[in-house]
Amino acid sequence: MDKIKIAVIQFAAGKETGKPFEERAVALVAQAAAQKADLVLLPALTGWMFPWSLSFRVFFADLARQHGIFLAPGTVRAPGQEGYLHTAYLFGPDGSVFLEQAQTHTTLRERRGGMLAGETLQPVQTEIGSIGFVIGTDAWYPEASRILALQGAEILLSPQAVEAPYGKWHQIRGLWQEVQQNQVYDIECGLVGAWEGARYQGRSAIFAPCEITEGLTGFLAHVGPVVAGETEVAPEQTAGAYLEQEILLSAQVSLADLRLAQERFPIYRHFNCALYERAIPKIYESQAEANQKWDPPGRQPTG
Amino acid sequence: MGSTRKAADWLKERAFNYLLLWKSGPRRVKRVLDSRRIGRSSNCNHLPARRIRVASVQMRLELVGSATQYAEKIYRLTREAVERGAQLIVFPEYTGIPLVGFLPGLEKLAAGTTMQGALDTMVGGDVKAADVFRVLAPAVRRIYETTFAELSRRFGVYIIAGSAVLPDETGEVRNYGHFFGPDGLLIGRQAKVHLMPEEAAWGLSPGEGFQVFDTLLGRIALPVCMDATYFETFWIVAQAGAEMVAIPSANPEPYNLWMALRGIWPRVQESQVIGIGSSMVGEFMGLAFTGRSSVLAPLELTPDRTGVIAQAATFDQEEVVVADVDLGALAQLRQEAPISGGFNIALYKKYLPMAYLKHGRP
Repeated sequence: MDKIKIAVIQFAAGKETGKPFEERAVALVAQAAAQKADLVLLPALTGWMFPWSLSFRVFFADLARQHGIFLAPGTVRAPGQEGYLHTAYLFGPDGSVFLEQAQTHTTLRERRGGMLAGETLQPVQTEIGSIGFVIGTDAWYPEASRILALQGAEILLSPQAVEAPYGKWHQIRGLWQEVQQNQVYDIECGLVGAWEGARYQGRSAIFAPCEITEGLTGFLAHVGPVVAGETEVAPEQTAGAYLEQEILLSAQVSLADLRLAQERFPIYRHFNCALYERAIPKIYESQAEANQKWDPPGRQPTG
Repeated sequence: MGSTRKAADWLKERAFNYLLLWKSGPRRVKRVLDSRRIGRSSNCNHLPARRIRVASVQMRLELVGSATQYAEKIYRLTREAVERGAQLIVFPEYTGIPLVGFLPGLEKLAAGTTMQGALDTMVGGDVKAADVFRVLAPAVRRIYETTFAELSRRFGVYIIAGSAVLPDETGEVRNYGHFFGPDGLLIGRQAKVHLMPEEAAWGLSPGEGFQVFDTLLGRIALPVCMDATYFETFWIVAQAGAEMVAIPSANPEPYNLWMALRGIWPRVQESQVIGIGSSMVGEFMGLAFTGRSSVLAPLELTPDRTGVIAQAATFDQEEVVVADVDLGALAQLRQEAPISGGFNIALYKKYLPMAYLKHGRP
């Protein structure tokens, strides 16, 4: 299957939780499926809003099966040893779990809140391509996207919940640039609105290598004003209403186009593996201690 | 007849070598600079300092036929940067390429063909660009090194001299960045580690590692152009202590903001360093080189949250961009929010070594 239609639900928190949330999620997924989406993505933290009385996994597996789609319904708290794992699922059209992935990088704030870092990171091969998750903070660690792309991932799914204020260039230094250096698609789906005392803003987008996007922008689709034609790394002028609105965004991606971009500009062909093997492990070892005291202001936490 | 032809070829080769040596005499460069009566600047008198003024030169790529012409051009750009107070001046990639103009006849072909195309026309197939660089190396090295060393010494500033394609002691041809100190001495060289596909086709060899140079200005690395496509490059130099990373570049593509944003800008953000991107511009050998030279910092250190401290106004004209960078503020950011603090080392050990080796990409 070459052409895949992807739908992104930029979900507005704070309207309802529990049963009403469940009903709204059902309606939004149905709306996306009606647009003939093959893959539908919801943002991070949906599991926090979901009724406690129901099983998140059973409910969304059933929804995927009903519509015959791939469904990534956001993230949940999955129990781990002495904490929880911020976990996303990908359900297949038959309702089975294709992929279960925990966020692999955590901020100090997340760790203090009990979040544990996932220990595995792998894509899954499906009939619509090889799919992996880059969740929350993982977006700002180049290793996450690199590990997935090296293992063959073609489409990265990124459920996000980033606290306000939104920063355009902060977003660009995250997943947009990971897509450029790994030549994959990434679907960034943001939670927006107020939730549990925090305010979230996002600009959901479908990123692709510049060469296969109109105007060479690296955006296949996005909410908010167009970026094509921009010529400057200019400051964000005003915060648009779109940053907090519920929006259904969709676009078609082509794996053949992706392979074309990879062949035209073969970034991976020129790795210097001998150098990486020699130099990079030393970096990680020397930095192990710093792990315990990290809380960067520029990298907003999820959850 | 065979021996006559052999003798003629030998004589031609000797004559060409003499011509190159004669045309590339360091005295020619020195004579030009002597005539300019360069006064040593006071720009680097009060080092070390935590606030540094850097200049990024945007230079037009054009062939030169003489050492004099070359020295004049580099002098003019250096002088502008020095007069504006620069302590460190960064030139773009391939500053040595104009000296290919020493190859007789190339100037006529340069406007409308690729380098390989020009070589095919002039000398027939089988000859790679690397072979030409190897032949021209003695002359290129003399003019290139003399020009930048003399300008660094005479003006009393640090210069990252872009790059020149030169053979190493084993004969492998690489794209070397050069770094000169205010005493005119070579601080170090840095071979480009990640080649463009075209460079690989020319027969160039990649460098094998990155260096960080400890100077009175701070700790500086100078990977070259394509090296900035890989986060691994900046990881290595940043963790080896680099505060400033200069990227001499030459991008042969029409200018587009987003395409141009794929190199040094995201690397600066990932690795928390000051970035100095220097671009070659102009039409050369059938290619249009574009770019906007810039001085960059993590978003947190630029008040407008763009990551850009200063940038060239154009993408196709010669310019010198000058900006002050605050290494004290950088150190504070790195201390308060070290990027490395969130590493998942067990995860990397588990996946990365094999993943690099086993990926199935072209």
